[in-house]
This record gives sequence, structure tokens and C-alpha cells, in this order.
Amino acid sequence: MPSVQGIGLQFNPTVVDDLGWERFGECPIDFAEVLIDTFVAPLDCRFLLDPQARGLLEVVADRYPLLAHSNYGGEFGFDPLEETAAVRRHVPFVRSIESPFVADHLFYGAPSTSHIWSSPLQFSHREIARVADRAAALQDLLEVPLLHEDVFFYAAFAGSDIAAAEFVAGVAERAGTFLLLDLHNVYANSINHAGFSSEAYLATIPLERVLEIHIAGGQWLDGWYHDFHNGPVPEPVWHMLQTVLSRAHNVRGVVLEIQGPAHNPRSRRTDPTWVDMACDDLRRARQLWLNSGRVD
Amino acid sequence: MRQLDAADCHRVWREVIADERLFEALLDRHPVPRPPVPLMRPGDDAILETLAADTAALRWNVLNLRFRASLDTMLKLRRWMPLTTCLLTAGHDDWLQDLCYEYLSRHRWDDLGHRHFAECRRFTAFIEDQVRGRRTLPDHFETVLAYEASVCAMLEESAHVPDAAWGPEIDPGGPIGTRRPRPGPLTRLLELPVDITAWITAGAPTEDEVGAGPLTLLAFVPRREETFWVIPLDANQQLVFERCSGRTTADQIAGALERQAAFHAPDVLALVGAWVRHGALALD
Repeated sequence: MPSVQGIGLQFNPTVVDDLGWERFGECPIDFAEVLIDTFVAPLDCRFLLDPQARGLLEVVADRYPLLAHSNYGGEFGFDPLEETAAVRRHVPFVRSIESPFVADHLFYGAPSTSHIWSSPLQFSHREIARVADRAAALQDLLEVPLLHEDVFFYAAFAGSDIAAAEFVAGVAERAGTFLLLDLHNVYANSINHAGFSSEAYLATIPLERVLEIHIAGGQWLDGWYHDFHNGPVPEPVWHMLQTVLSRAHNVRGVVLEIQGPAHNPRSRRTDPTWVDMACDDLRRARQLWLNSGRVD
Repeated sequence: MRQLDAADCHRVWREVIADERLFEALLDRHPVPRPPVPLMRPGDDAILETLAADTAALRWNVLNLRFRASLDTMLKLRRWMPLTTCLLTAGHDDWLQDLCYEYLSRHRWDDLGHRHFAECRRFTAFIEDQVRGRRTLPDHFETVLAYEASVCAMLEESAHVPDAAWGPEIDPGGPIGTRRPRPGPLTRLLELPVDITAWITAGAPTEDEVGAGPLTLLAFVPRREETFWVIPLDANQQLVFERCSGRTTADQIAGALERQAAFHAPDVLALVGAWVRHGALALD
């Protein structure tokens, strides 16, 4: 079983293409988080892995333990679960790399995968029941813990009538699943939405179910703070990380996300300074990890 | 107040994504228009009112989605149709993404997600229906498009081919003389008017001149490997391949070619054996 413990970096193709993965070799990381959809084959062919991506996966696997991360599984849409990419591609991929757990996102899945990030789940009790039942079924298929990552959203989905934190907690507790706490999403939502309190969020979710933490930076545009993963980790996120590491005792890893322009044409472009930016953030994350009493 | 049903909200939200006029009307905060039948159901007005309540958020959600959709589609097309997309836009990704933007707008922002080969097929139709009529396409574009569309079609078909279609399992090193070779279920001969081998090898239209044609390619998906292969065939190899129809044994094929076309029978058997080992041919 690969050891996934400590500080990780998300292997994002937008950065890999622009800067090259090897440039991050100086960054102090213990494992690599790989985006499953970068490596799996399309649903309309017989392969599990994209033949072209297999070599890249082997290169990364030779160097680091791998942790799988799901973006476009579509498990929380309204199509039958067994027809989704989550079941048809992500489950076998997670097994093939022996990922110790895998995280997904609380968005509506649809055949049009680009819709996902603009379609957060409705925060409601009825959706807790529907989503949790699908999550439990998926976790059974995965045979490893399934983590749900909290969402960044521009507006709560139509019909939402409970708080985001209550929804996240409700899903995980009903399904018996776990959490990936994205602290930058929590921070960005607290900036953009009156009434969204980071402190209240952290006080509501079951921290004992948090197995992984994401940190990242973002960008201001037109009066909104966007979760573009294209800047240094903000100070309030560091403060939250310190707090959570002292309270959440089951955390296995902290992962830094960095990403080139993928959501908006005005998102900052990657440049070589991002390597130092990432390394600085990873060193600081490791220091907080050690300060929390965890071993190197 | 009645709870808005999540599935209804998602259905209406997808219509807002798809219908550009409806989206603009919501942004302008005109009296919220009624979406077209058959979308309209009791309660949809309330959902639209909710979506229109925060126009800034609505704008970010939809405009970011369009950027993402065009970028993701560009990456898909570039992955599976690298020569076509490179020729089409002279290697400029911004231009290709812009074409994808137009393509998706015509398809109501319904990108095909994980169905990459269906997306390639639909984009090929977009080129034929929209792009071809308004500009002169580069030299050899037809050849490149025909080649890549054929490979994509073969890969798309692979989703529906069971392992049994390859016939019984074979011993890769075993004798083949008494067995009847035939193309695997995902083996295709592609005939191209010019030789684009150098471009296929490079994965891009390079400065190398294309060669004189015609070019025959053997494209196939083996049973066991998760990959596909494309191999150029010369005239003699093509002749051997075309004899492998599943009706006669490998020994009979080799013997006939030795008598009729001055082939050396052991060479024919070696060639057939290599195609069997690579997975281009199955044995009955």
C-alpha cells in the first residue's frame, strides 16, 4: 500500500503543460495528488487508461506515492450511478493505483462535464438523503474511504434552504463517508457571501471525518474573490490550517492546488515564478504539519 | 413556502445554460421569460426567479462555464485529432478554442463530456457544415481529417466489441500454419491519397513534405493491450493482409502467394505471425 501521509501537491495538467512537472522536483512533497480524469480513457472506448497518459502516470508514480482525486465522476447527478464515469472509470482507476482514499466534489454531475463547477448541489435536507445514498453506494464500490470536498460557489443552488456546512455534515454522517476540507473554498465563500462564516463552517462540519485538506490561492476579479488556484495561499487560510490541524486528528495529508487558466480567460497565466511560489507554500504547510505534532 | 425540487432546479438550470437568449433575459432582469415548451412545467417560474435574483453570480457561473467548456473541448479535440486541429488553426490554441466556443454555442453548450469520440465526430460535422463553406482549408486537410476521423471511429466502436469477437485465445508463440487468420474485430485498412506518415509519427504537421501517395495504413486495437496501433503497409504486405480473410489457413495463404506472386512462403508466415502477435489478426 503506498504511503500517503504529509504534504502533497496536486498534479494539474494546466501547470504540467506550461511549466513541466519536473520543475517542481525541488518542492518538498511526500505524495502527488493525481486528477483521475487526466489519465482515464473516454467512456466511449474499451480502455480504462488513455494510452497516451499511461506513461506520464508511470513517471509520477515512480517518484511519489499517488492519491486519486475525482473531478468529473458525475456521481451526484440524476443519471443511474452505474452509468457514471465515477463507477465506470474512477472506481477501477482508484483500485489500479491503490489509492488509500479518494475525494469527489459536491456538484451536480451531468453528461456535459463542463457544467459541473457551476452547478453546486442544492443545500437541502432532501438532497442530503439522495446524495448520501449515492455516496454510500459509491464508497462500497470503491472499497476505500470516499471524501467529499466542500464547494466554492458563486450562488447557492436554487432551492437551497440550509447552510453549506449543515449539508456537508449531513451527507457525510448519513453516508458514513469522509471529508476533504478545502480551506481556500471556505475562505473564498466567506469573502463572497454575507453570512458565510469560516468559523461557523469549521464548527459545524465533523472534523473527525476530515482525512485531507486542500490549500490554494485565488484571484480578485470585478469585486469577487475566485477560487482559481493561481496565487499564494492567503494568510487567513494558513490560520485556518493551523487551527484545523490542531483539532482534526485523522488528517492524513495537506495538498496544495495550483492551476493555470481553466475557468476564466482573465485568470492569471502560469509563469516560472509559480514554482517558487508553490515551494514556499509547501514548506510552510510542512512546518504547520510538524508544529501540530505530526511526524515528518 | 414549497420546497423547490432539486431535479426540477437542475433541469431548469441546464436550460438556462443551453438557451443563450434566456440567459441574457435573466441578466437584463426583463420580466423573466417563460422558457419554451416542453421545458415549462408548473413551478419553473419560481426557479427562474431564484436564478435571476443574483445576476452577478449567474453571469460568473455561465461565462466561466462557457470558457471551461470551450477549453475542455479544445483539449479533447487536440488529443484525438491533433493533425486536423493543428492544420485547421495553424497550431493556434486560442483560435481553436474560439472555434470550439462557436461549435458549442451551436450545440446549446452541451459538450459531450467523457464521450470524446462522439465529440470528435460531431466536431467533424461542424467543420463540414460550417467551416468548409467559409474559408479555404489547408493542403492535405482532407487526408488528415479522413485519417483521424477513421481512427476515432474505430476507437468509438471499440466500446461495443466484446472480447469474444477476437475468437479463441491464442498462444503467441504457437504454430499458426493450420489456423485461419482474419482481421481482428477492430482492425482497419485505411487508404490515403498522400503519404502523411511523417506527420503521423510527429503528431503534428511538420515542415516535412508529405510523400507521394497512395498510403495504406493498418490500424488496429488489440484484444489485450489498452492501446491502438497504426502501421504503414507496402504493396506486398497489403496483398498478404488482404488474403487473411478467415477462409483459408496460413499455410494455404503462404503457399498460394508463393505460387502466384513469387513470395517466399516462410516470409509470409512470419509476417502473418507478427500480425497475430501484435493483435491485428485473430485466428480461427
